[in-house]
Amino acid sequence: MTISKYDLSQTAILPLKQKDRELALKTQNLQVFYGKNQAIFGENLAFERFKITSLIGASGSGKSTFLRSLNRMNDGIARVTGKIFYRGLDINSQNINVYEVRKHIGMVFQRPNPFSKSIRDNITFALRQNGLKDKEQLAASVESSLKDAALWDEVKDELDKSAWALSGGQQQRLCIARTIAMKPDILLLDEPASALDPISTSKIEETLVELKQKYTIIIVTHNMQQASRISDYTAFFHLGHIIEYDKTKHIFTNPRIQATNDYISGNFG
Amino acid sequence: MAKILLKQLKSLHQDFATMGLEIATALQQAAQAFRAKDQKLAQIVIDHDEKINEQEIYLEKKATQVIALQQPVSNDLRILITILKASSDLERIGDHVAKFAQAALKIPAEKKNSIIEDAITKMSQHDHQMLQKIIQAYIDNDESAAQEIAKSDLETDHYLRLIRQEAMSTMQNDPDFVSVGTEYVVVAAHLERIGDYVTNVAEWIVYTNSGKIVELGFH
Repeated sequence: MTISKYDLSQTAILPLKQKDRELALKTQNLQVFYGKNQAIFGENLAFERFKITSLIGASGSGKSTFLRSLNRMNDGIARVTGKIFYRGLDINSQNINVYEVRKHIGMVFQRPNPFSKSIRDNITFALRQNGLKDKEQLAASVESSLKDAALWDEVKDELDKSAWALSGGQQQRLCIARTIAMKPDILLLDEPASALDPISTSKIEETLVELKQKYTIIIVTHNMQQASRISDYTAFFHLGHIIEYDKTKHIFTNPRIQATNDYISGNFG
Repeated sequence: MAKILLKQLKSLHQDFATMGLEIATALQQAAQAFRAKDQKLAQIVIDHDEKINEQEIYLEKKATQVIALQQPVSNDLRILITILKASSDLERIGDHVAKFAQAALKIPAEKKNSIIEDAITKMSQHDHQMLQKIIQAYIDNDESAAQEIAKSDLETDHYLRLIRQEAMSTMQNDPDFVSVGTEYVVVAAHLERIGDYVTNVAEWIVYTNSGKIVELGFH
């Protein structure tokens, strides 16, 4: 067990006053265990719809574990207890179809991982798997997804080219397009720009800011500047606890907890 | 995330210009209230100063937030520093405008000195022109215009000397005029300070463009 120099019971969590229908997701007493080790300690967090929320914290703080729990990606890896409410439904309960959950709550990973297929097929693969066969509908979905991910103009003339021929930044935007092709409500992103150069990072950030008009976005990032630039809300994690959660402008100009202040100022640990 | 930063800079830019133009309007109203000894209009100008103070606080808060959240560098950072510093100069101009309006309540119409009143009118018109021009130079980011405007501050100094001399000589000949004469000198001093603050804004426009901190006062 890691001992913290900070008092982990001292927290400041902004209670979102929005009505439930304006919330995309809400966790209640969420706990995650890897075997006997507890990684998340009963956290309650609510995410506002059509906003970007950043989860920040040092390595091992639990932010990625927390994120992956939100669409049941920890199933089979960790034991997740507590409730996760999505549209009034506890999606962490046993009788929930996790594949349905992931259609509504999509995930984009740290490293771009396009399928070894054409650009077009990367988008249509999941749609076909879900029974969509109409060519016009598939083509429309390819176009709208790529447009939403700000990639259409760069690839529209070479949709049959291998996705692996794209640059890292383009591949990541293709992965975003692939996720939004399923028309999810919520996009979870686990450090989506950490493997990219600054220009590609900037494009991803711009894309996310555009995407929040249609989707709720929850992003794990090590890059505090990225969190401050694009997110509306920020949650600071430390040793499996959410220490502070507030509007990003408050977190980065006047945090209420010393640990948050030290982390964002680079004086942490 | 250049797009967000650009949008926020544009919004602050507009808010700053709006604040400047509102103060220019207030200065015109104060001059009118002073000329006509219109107490009602003077009170409107005095009350409006509160709004100007709020505008400064808003600009400072927003500019600080943009610096913290967007980490601007180079030109973008200078734009924000200018907004932070020059909004404080505008706020001080607002204070002097309010003091100018207050003087309208203090000088009885029957004790007016037409030579001094005429000089104060001209001085306030000159201040108003300086203020309008500096806001335009800010909007256009025009460094050379800013430097020209700063030079014209010499004229406000000239008016101050003129008013002071006239007030002094009148006071020497008419002891009953001392309290009014002193008030006139105070008014002229307020108007002279407005010219100084406009010069400060001009210096910040130069800084935005060149990154150089300069002294444009010609005293």
